[in-house]
Amino acid sequence: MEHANTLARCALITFSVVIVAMIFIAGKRDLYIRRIQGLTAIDEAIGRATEMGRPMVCLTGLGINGGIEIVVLQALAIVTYIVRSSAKFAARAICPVYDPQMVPVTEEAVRDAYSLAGRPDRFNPNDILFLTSRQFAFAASVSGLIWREKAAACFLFGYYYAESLILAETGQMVGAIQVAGTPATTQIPFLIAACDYVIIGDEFYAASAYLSREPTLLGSIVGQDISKGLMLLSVLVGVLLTTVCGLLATHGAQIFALWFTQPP
Amino acid sequence: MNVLRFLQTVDRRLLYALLFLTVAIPLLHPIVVPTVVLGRGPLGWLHPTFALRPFVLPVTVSPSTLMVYDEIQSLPPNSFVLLAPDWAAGSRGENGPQTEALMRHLMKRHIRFAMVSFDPQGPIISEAMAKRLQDQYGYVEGVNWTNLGFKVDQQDFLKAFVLDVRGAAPQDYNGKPVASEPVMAGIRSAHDIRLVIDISASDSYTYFIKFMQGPYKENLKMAAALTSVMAPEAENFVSSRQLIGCLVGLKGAIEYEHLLGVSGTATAANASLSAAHVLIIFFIVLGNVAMLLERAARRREDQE
Amino acid sequence: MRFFLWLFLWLFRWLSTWLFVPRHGRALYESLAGAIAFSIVVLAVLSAAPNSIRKYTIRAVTLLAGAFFACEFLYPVHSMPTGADPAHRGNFLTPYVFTVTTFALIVSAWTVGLGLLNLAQLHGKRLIRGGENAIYSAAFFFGLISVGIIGLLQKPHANAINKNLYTLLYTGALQNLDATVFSIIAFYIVSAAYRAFRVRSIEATLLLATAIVVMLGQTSIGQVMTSHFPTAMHTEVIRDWIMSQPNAAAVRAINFGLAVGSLAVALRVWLGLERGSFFDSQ
Repeated sequence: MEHANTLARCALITFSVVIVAMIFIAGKRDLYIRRIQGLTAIDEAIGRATEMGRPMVCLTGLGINGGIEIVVLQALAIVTYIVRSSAKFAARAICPVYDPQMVPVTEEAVRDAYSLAGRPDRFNPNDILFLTSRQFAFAASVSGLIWREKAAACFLFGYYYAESLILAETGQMVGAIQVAGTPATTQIPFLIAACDYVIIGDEFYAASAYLSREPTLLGSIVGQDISKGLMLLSVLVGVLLTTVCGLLATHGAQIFALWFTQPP
Repeated sequence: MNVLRFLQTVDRRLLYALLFLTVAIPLLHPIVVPTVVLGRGPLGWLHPTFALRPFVLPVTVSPSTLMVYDEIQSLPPNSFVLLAPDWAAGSRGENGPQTEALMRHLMKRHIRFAMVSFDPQGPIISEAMAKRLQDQYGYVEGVNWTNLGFKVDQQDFLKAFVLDVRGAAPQDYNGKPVASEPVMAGIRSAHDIRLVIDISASDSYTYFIKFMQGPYKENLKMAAALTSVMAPEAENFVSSRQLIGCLVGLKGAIEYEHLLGVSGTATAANASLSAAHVLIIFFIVLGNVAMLLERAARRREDQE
Repeated sequence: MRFFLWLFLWLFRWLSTWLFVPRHGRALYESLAGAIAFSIVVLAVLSAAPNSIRKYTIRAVTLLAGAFFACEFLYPVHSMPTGADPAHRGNFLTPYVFTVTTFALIVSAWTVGLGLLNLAQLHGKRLIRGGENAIYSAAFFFGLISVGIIGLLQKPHANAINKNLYTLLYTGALQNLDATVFSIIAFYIVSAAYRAFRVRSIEATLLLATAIVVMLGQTSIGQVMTSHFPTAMHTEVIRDWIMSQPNAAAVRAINFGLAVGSLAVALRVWLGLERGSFFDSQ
C-alpha cells in the first residue's frame, strides 16, 4: 500500500487543516464567494419555461458510486433553488431520479422548496419520478419524458457519464433551453456542444454553495481555493527554481524536485 | 438565400442517414479505387491497364501506442501480466478491438496473464474473447491465462490484492482454486507482476496507479487502453511516466494491429472511422461557409 | 490514548486469528448463519435506536474506519519484509490492512443487495398501488427473477436450456441493448457538432480549427491528406502536440482542483461535517 512521504504528509495535513478551519469559520461569519455566471442562465431558463407554459425537467445526475452521495445532494441543492424560483410563476418542475435511495430525499427537498416559496399546494409527488437505475435505460426513459412533455427547459446538474449527450441532444430536439453543471470533465465537451450554458468543474460546487449558503459548503469552497493557491505557489516556485538553476547550471531544482518525489 | 439557410439547418435525420451509410458501406464492401498500371504491349509500346484495387489507408503509429507495444515486446519470458478489461458492451466498439489486439500480442509472445474486471460484463466478454483466440496461439486456460472474474469494489480489492494475490482472489471465474493453476505459480503479491494493462471506458486506471504502479514502480509498469473520450485525461499520467503508454480509442487498436501485422476487427473498421470523421467535418465546414455567405449577402443588402 | 489504541489493536488481532479465518464444510455454513443472524440483530438494534444514537454510531464508525486508513497512510514506515514481498515497507497498522479491506469488500458486496432491496420496495409499492406504470414494475420483477434464476442455474446445471436462455437474455438482450443505446451517441454527436461548431467569435473559430485538426489526426485520412507536407505539418503530429501540451496542461489544472475538491468532500464525510448540511435539517 502506498504511504506518504514528507511532502505528502505536510501537504495533506496543511490542506486538511485549512479546509476544516474555513468550515468552522464559515459557521461563525458569512464568507464571500462571487456569483457564478451560470446562475443567471438558470433564471432565464425558468422565465422562458413560464412564458411557454411547458414544464421544466430537472436532473440530479447519476452520482459516482450510487446511493445518497455528496455530488447528487449538491445537484439537489441547485434543483431546489430552481423549484423555489419557479414556484411563484407556476412553472411545473419534473424531477426524474436515478437512484431509488434518493427518491425520499428528493421528495422531501422539493416539498420543502415549494413550502419555502409559499406555494405548498403546487407540490405534486408524481413529478418526482423514479425511472430506473440502469444508465442507458435512464437515458432512454428521460429522453422519452422530455419528448412527450415537450420540456421548455432542461437542467442537467450532477455527475454524468456517456448518457449526457443523449439527454442534452433530446432537449435540443424539442427546443428546450438547457443549462448543465457537472464536475465530470469528460462530459464537458458534449454538454457544451448541446447545451446553452454549462457550469464547469469546480463552479458546480461553488454554485451549490452559493445557492444553499450552507456554512459547510461555503467554508469548503473557500478552503479549497486557499489550498489551490498554495499548490499554485509551489508550481511557480518549482518553475522559477528550474529556470534559475538551469541558467546557473546548479542542482537546486533537482533538490527541490527530490522533496516531491522521495519515497516514503 | 434559401439554399444557404437550408445548408445551415440540414435536417438531422438526413445527417443520421448519411452517417449510417458512411459507416456501413466500407464495413460491408471494401472500398476500391481505379488504378492505372503502365506495361509494355506486344510491340513494345507503353500500354496502360486499368484495374480496381482495394483502397488501403496508411497507418502511422503514435508514440503512445508504440511504447505499450515495445514494453510487451521487451517482457522477459515467464513474466506475468495483469489485464483488466473494465468495460461493458456499450464501449465494445473501442475497447473490444483493443482487448483483442493486446491479448493477441501477449499470446504471441507466450506471456502468461490473468484478467480481472470491476465491471460485471467485463469477465464474460473477455473470457469469450480469450477462448476464441487461445487455439490460434496454443494457449490453455489455467495454464497460460486465467480469468479472476468480477470484483465488487476496486479500491478495497486492489488494497488487498497487492499484498496477497491469492488471498484476495482465491478462485477464478469458473470457481477453480487459483493456487492450483500453473499460470499463477509464483505470483504472491504485486511484487511478482511485471505489467498491468487497464482497458476501460472510465477512470479505473487511476486506482491501479494509486495502489499498484505507485508503490511498486521499481518492477511494475502500467499501461492503459482507453476510449477516445477518456484518453485526454490520461495524457497527464503518460507525460509523468506513471503510464508507459496509452492506446487511444479505435485508432489505438488499429495502430496496434498494424504493429502486430494482423488484420482484425479494428483494421476492418479503419475506413468507416475515417469516412465518418470526414462526413462530420464536411457538414461543419458546409454549415459555416453557408453562414458566412449569408452574413455577407445580408451586409450587402443593408449597404444597398 | 495509547491504552485505547492497544485495546483496539488487541481486539483486532484476536478477531483476525479467531473470526476472520477461512472455514470449510459445516463450519462455513454455521459461520454464515451466525454472520447473517448477527447482521440482522445489529440492523434491528440500529433501526429501533433513537435517531441521535443512530447518527452518533454511524459517525463513530465512519471516523474510526477513516482514521485507520488515514493513520496507516500518514504514519512513517520502516522495512517490514513478508514472505510474499521481501521489499515490503509498512508501519504498525499495515499488517491489518488486508483484514480491514476484506471486511470493507464484504460490506460493499452487501450494498448490491441493498440497492436491489430498494428497487424491489419501490416497484413493489407501485405494483400494489396499480396505475398506468404498474406494468413496468411487473416487468422489473419478471426480469429480476427470470435472469436471476437462469444466471444462478447456468453454471451448476449447464444444460442446453439454461445456457441458451442465459445467452438469449444476457448476451443477446442486455448487452446488445446497452450497446445500442450507447451507439445513439455517435449519431447525436454529428448533429451536435454540426450545430455547435459555428464561427461566431475568435474563440469559436479557434475551437473549430482545433477540433478539425484533432479529428483528422485521429484518422488515417488525415495522414493521406498531409503526407506530402513537412513532418511538422502532419495532422497526427499536430494532434499529438495539442493533446500532450496545451490540452494536458488544462486537464492537469482541472484535476488539481478536483483533487482538492475530493479531499474536501472526504474530510466532510469522515469528520461528520456533512451531516449538518443535509441530513439534520430533514
